[in-house]
This record gives sequence, structure tokens and C-alpha cells, in this order.
Amino acid sequence: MNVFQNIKKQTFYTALFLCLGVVTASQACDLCGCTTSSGSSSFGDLSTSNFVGVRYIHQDFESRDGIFSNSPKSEETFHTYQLWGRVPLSKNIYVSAIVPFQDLYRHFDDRTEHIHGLGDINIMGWYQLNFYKKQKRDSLVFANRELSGHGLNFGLGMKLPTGEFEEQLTDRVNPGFQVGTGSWDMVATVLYSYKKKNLGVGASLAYYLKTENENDYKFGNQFSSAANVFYDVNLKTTTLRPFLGVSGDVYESIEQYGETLADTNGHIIYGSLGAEVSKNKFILGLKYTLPIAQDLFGGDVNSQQQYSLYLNYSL
Amino acid sequence: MKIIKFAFAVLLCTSIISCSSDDDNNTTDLTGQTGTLALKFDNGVGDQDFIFGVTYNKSNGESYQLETLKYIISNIRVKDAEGNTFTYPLENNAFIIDESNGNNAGEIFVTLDNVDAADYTEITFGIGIDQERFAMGAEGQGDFLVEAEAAGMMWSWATGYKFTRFDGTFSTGELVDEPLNIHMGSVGTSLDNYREVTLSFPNTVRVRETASPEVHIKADFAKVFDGETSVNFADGYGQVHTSSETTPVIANNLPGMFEVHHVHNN
Repeated sequence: MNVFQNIKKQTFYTALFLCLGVVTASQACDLCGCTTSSGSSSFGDLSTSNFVGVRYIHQDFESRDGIFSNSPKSEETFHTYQLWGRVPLSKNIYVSAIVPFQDLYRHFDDRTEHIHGLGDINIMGWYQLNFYKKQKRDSLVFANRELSGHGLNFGLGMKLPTGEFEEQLTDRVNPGFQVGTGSWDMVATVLYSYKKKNLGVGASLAYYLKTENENDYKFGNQFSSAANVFYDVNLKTTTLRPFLGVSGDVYESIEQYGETLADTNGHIIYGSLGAEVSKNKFILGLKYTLPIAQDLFGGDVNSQQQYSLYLNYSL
Repeated sequence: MKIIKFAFAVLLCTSIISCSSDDDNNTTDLTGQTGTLALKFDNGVGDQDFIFGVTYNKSNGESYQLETLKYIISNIRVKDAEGNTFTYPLENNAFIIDESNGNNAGEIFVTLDNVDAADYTEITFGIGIDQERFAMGAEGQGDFLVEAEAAGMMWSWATGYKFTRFDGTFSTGELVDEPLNIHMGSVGTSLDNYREVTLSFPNTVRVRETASPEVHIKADFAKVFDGETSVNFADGYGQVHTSSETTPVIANNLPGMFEVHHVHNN
């Protein structure tokens, strides 16, 4: 622990975690799961505070509806409405939950497909580890130690198969067009945060271990990472917090009946910018995300843009 | 201590997840079960979906465009993981793949009913009509004779079937929009231009009473002229009918058109 307490090293760690945020190795993707589990959509707001709130996520994709380079395209629009929150159980332990409602559209030249309903609920348990500044030699041993500004949060949770998985939809080009994955998945994550004066940094790593659903269909395991930098602009009673971020997701291949399906792995790197406005106990957030580089489903699926809007009430 | 507790919780959760059941249906007895197997033929030129009237270039700089694209597929059979072969009933085992019958995406379906339930790993089919079927005489052809005649896939009975009907125009450096007609067949019994192709499936095709898999077959039309042998329209390959010189060359190019792009199990 001593190393973490060394303030001189804070710059190093900040740099390290920022780098981790953009780590993307090369490696299908349940994009529907992504609406709750993409590196670009976090588990909470920037301040990693306790809250309850609502969030809307809009995602646009373009997919190739056929096997040729001039095959027709379909446009997918995913609307996700979430109830989300994070509540403390004790000083260092808390739980978070995301309850999504999916409203997904796929537009073809001649028709539109529409599926909607409760999505896959995510529940996580968290342990918060705070770091303290080194004590001065002459300070009292039992004096309250000063927080260093660095924090680590370890989370472990489940994604529940509460959303309906329709097997026939797997035949389409974008297998992510599902309200749910139908599987029990495990999520392990580490969040890092650092705050000094008005400047803040956040980074996260998450691994999604996916299991086979009742249809012998298993979405690929997923590694997500994200990093954000934000700056507090204090107005009279309001704080404006603009932020910039990068995030990435790497997906392993989908398996069906124990066999790997070709062209179902992939990766994507996003850049995002946004702002949070907090006044009294409310936080209003707006985030716009664009892919910087991607290769999903052998290039057959293209993420176009995402934006999200959230309103949280701090607890 | 909290870290130790936390680590313990991680381990516990991991082990619970690892215990998810792995039971498969592999052990199920499939005897007597049958299902439907759909073959989806998708004609293209290279990585482009084939479209009537679009001009395509050959490797030698010659070009062509088509108004008709039809060919005969027959003797479809599939082999399972144990090496057992299921052959579709002879009397119904001949099909005309006609691009103009394609759906919006240009896909032509061949639906095989009452296929034995099994885990299939490869498919074999013929291009054209084999001599054995032709030797069964006009009466032995069943409904297919009428179908082929209606589709313009026959010469006289003595000359037999046209295995392919590719009609359009071609251009070379000197000739422009000359008629292109590839009506290749076996020419009675004097030539045997029937060829077969075997393609392995990229994933197991699971035919079940309750599951109707789809096999998406990509057919690259460019291989007709630029396959095993590259041919020149300028050398007479713009008109291929009954010649014992040109028809076998085209016949040998045809099997190379086909590949199984992917399969769907549902």
C-alpha cells in the first residue's frame, strides 16, 4: 500500500490508468448487452457517488444485410431507458444496479423490425478502497489521516437473463439485435479515480464472462476499458463538469452448440465528450460518443454514434 | 481483512459460475426424426452481389452483362459426422437455380423436406444432369422435364438438358455488345459435362424435427469465365452450346463457383 500513498507517484499512476483505459487488444459481441455493458457506458456518474437516477442511451448502427460488399444495408437504432443507482451498505461496501428497458428498431429498405421489453438487469457489489496521504513525522499517530485523492473500487456482479432472447434473430447480420442475451453473465471490474482540486480522472477495466443460454448460444466474453478526464467549473450554486473520455471493447467470438461462429468477434474504440451539471443534489449528464476505430463482425456491423442523457439524485 | 473477504467472494462467485451445466443434445437419439434443410443460393461476381444488366469485367479486360442467369443443380446429398450420407429422393433431386426467382437480396431457396435428423458436415451436389438420370428417358424425368422445358433449359430430348442458361452481351477490344449465350449441357450421350462439387460446412448443420438449418451457398459467377481455365470471348466462348471443345472447359469451371459462406442453425 505504501507505494500508493506516495504522492510523488500520483502522476505516474494517473498516466498508467489513462493508458489502461485505451488498451485494446485485438479480438461477437452482444451489442444489446453493450447498451448496459460497454466501456463507453459507465456504471455511474463521474463523481462515483451514491445515487439513484434514470439514463437514456441512444445508439445507431449500420449493418450489411447480405454477404456481398454491395449487399443492402440495414440501419439499427437502439433506445435504452435505464433505472440505475448505487447505494451504500457500509462505509466501504456498496451495491449498484442497472435495470434497462430496450426499444430496438432495425430499418431495411422495405420493412422495419421492432423489438422491445425489459432488458438484462445488472447487479454489482463494490468494495471501495481509499488511499491516504503519508503522515507527517510530527503528526499524532491517531490523528485523522488525510485522503490522498486516489481511490480504487472493486466490483463483482451478475448480468441476469431478464431480457428475452429470440433465437431466430441470431440469423441476422447483427446478432446484437436482441433485448437480452438469455444468459447469466459475470462481471468483474476495477474503477480508479483521482481528484485533485478541480481536476479529476477516472478509469475502469471490466471483464464480462458470458455463459451459454438455453438456446446453446454463447456470446463472446468481453473486455472493456474506459478513461475520463473532467474539470470542475464552479459557478454560484452550480458545478459544471465538462469531460473527455476514451473507451474500448474487445469481444471474443460467439459460440453456438459449442462451435465458434466465424466473423463474430471484434473490437471497437470510442471517443466521447460531455458534461455534467450538478445543483443541490441533482446531477444532469450528457455524453456524446463516436467510434474512433472498429472491426465488429468481420466489418459487417458499424457502430455510428451514441449519446446518453442521465439525471441522478445523490444520496 | 476486507480485501481477503473480497477476494474470497470473487473466488466463490467464479466457482459458482464455472459450475453451469454443460449438457448437450448430442446424446439424443435422432433415429426416425426428420427435418427441413434449406439451401440458399446467392449469385455474385467476386465480392459483388450479381445484378442483371450490370457490366462485369473479366481478367483479360473483356466484359459482359446478363439478362438471364440459370443453372441446374441435382443429386444433392449431405454427409454427417459419422460418415453416413443422406441422399435426397432421386425423383425430386433436380432444381433450377434462376436468379430472377431470387428474393429482395437475390437469394434463391432450395428447400429439402424430410431430411434425416443428423449433424451434417458436408454437402455434395451436381451441376447439370448426370447420364444415369438422362438414360431413364423422358418418362423417367418426372415433373422436372416440364419444368426445364418451361424454363428454356432443354434442347430436343435427344440433345438433352441445357445445364446453364447465361444470356446477355459481351464486349471485347474490337467487338461491342455481341450476343452472349452459354447454353452448355451434355449433348445427349456423346459428351458428359455433368460435374459434382463437395463443400464442407464451416459449422455443423443440425437437422432436427424442431430445427431447420439454412446453408448459405455463395456462387461466384466470375468463375464461369475465369475459373480453372480463363477463357476469351474473342476465342468463341461468347457462344457455348454443343461444341465438344468449349463445353467441357466451361463445365470444369462451374464447380469452382460454389462455396458455403456460412450456415444458420435455428
